[in-house]
Amino acid sequence: MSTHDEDRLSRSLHDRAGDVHGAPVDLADVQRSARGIQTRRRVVAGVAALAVVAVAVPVALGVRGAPGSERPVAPATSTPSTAVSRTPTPTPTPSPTTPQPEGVTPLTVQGAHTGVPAQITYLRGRTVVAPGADPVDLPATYESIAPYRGGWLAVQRKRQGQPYVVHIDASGQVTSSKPGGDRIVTSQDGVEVSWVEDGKLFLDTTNGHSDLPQSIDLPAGSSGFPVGFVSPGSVVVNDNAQDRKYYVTDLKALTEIHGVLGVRATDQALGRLGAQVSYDSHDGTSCWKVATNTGGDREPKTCDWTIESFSADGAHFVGYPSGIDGLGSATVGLLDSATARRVASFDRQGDGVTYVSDAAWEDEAHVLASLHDGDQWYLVRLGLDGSLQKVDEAPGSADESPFRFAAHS
Amino acid sequence: MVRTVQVVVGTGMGAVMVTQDRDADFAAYMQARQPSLLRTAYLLTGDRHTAEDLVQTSFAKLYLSWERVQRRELVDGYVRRILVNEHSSLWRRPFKRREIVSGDVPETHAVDRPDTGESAALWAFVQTLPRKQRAVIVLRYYEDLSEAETADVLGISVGTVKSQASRAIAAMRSRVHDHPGLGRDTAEEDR
Repeated sequence: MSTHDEDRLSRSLHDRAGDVHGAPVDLADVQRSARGIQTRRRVVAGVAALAVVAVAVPVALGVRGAPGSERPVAPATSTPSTAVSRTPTPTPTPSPTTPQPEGVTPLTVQGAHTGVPAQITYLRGRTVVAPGADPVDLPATYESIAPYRGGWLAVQRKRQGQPYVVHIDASGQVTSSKPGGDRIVTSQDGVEVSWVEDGKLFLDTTNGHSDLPQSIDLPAGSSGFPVGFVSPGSVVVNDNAQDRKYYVTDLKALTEIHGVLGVRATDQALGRLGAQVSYDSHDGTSCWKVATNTGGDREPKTCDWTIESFSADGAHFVGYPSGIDGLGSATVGLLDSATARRVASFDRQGDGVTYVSDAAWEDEAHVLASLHDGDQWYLVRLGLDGSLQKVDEAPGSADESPFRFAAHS
Repeated sequence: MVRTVQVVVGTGMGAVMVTQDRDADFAAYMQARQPSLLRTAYLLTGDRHTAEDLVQTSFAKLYLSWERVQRRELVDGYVRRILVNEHSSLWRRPFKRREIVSGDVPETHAVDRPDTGESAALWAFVQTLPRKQRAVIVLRYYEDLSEAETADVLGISVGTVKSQASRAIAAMRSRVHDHPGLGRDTAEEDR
């Protein structure tokens, strides 16, 4: 029976959808995606090439590989500060995986030495591994965690993927669980933490030595998540609504960031963003720039790499080749944030099942990455000097890394 | 642009060269259905960029099986099923696409259609629904599919469609309580 409520719901959905117009998808877009899907299926199935039915889509359209030589970039107009205090740096053991010509290191654990334990907190399955502490088993599997008031804040996927923010006390008991954003971020010094819960953006100190958490309402109907800190007490947040707007907020007001398609990285040291500014529907690639925290130009710009996260001092960023999709990236670049030029890159050799699913800065010279190599997952340390070390390893299916990094800016 | 697609059947037993007709056929279908699928994808995801990504991936999967879709009248249902299933599994992807697949930078002062009151409350409510239940709502009340058709697309029973829709409407009545118009049956209005 049709009810008044059903009719109103139907009208509301039609009204809402009626205004939606997107960028047209053409055949080249679809063919490129089809190639990626085929590759993913082969990897997950563990089948190299002998599919029963294999569709060879045109190769003439081309798929960009790892950026070997960057396109020209605009000149830098800022120089990263070096005044930021440096975090303790683990002393890497020499790696036999020495850089190849042009600063490219093979992305593989084959022949890599085992380095010192990780200096940042990460998850190995349900276990929290923190530097200098005994591993702690959590009550469930979480996507992300951050230390908070002696316990943890965590993101858990429930009910067909809906993210929930879970509060866990020092004894490991869950004290609350509410729908929220799928990302928790901490400030570079680890003092502040921000998350979205029940339509509000929260900010608090991780040790709880503060008044009640500050909060600000997100725009109506949005279900956003914090992207990162741009300065103490100042957070970039995505409203995750129709037009995916980004705001910077001091928790008193939301100021929209203009001129960006997406923001994946924030630089607290210099108050900058790593922002996607264009997308090329023909070849599926995009251009990114280092921007001010209001979206203005800071330069440089790159159409070869995404900007995933800045180092603590803002001098470098991690990037993946623009246009990457699939299970992970077969190339990881560590780039100079003043020029967007590659300092070191790590590249899969041959056609093996090797890719990185996530990466986080460990200190100002090293990145930890979750690497699938062969049939195993590894935590590896990638250095600006082109070194690669093995740090941890764990079994896991090809499409789900057991390693996840604790919240970071 | 190369438009010829080589389809290799078996393990080297023979190859069938399919001419431009295949791509032209597919491109025509895609052009015709794209706006509609994008709107459905938007209602499922709540985000235009994610919706565009979802539509592109769905078309790519359809493209890979285009040769096997023998009855063209079933294609709409097939691609709709791909769309819904792909949306359900998006969050499981360990390495989500990094880039926004749109070249449109939002206008500096983009002004949304005024969206306050009941419409905003209803949309906010829909966005809180679990993915499967939200798919039921979108297919039933936007696509106007029957309960049986909705069940077929989602691969669930008709009973589940009924119960999911019924629970969603009940929740809507209780949660969107600031709008007194909600909660009255059509029959009541008719009286």
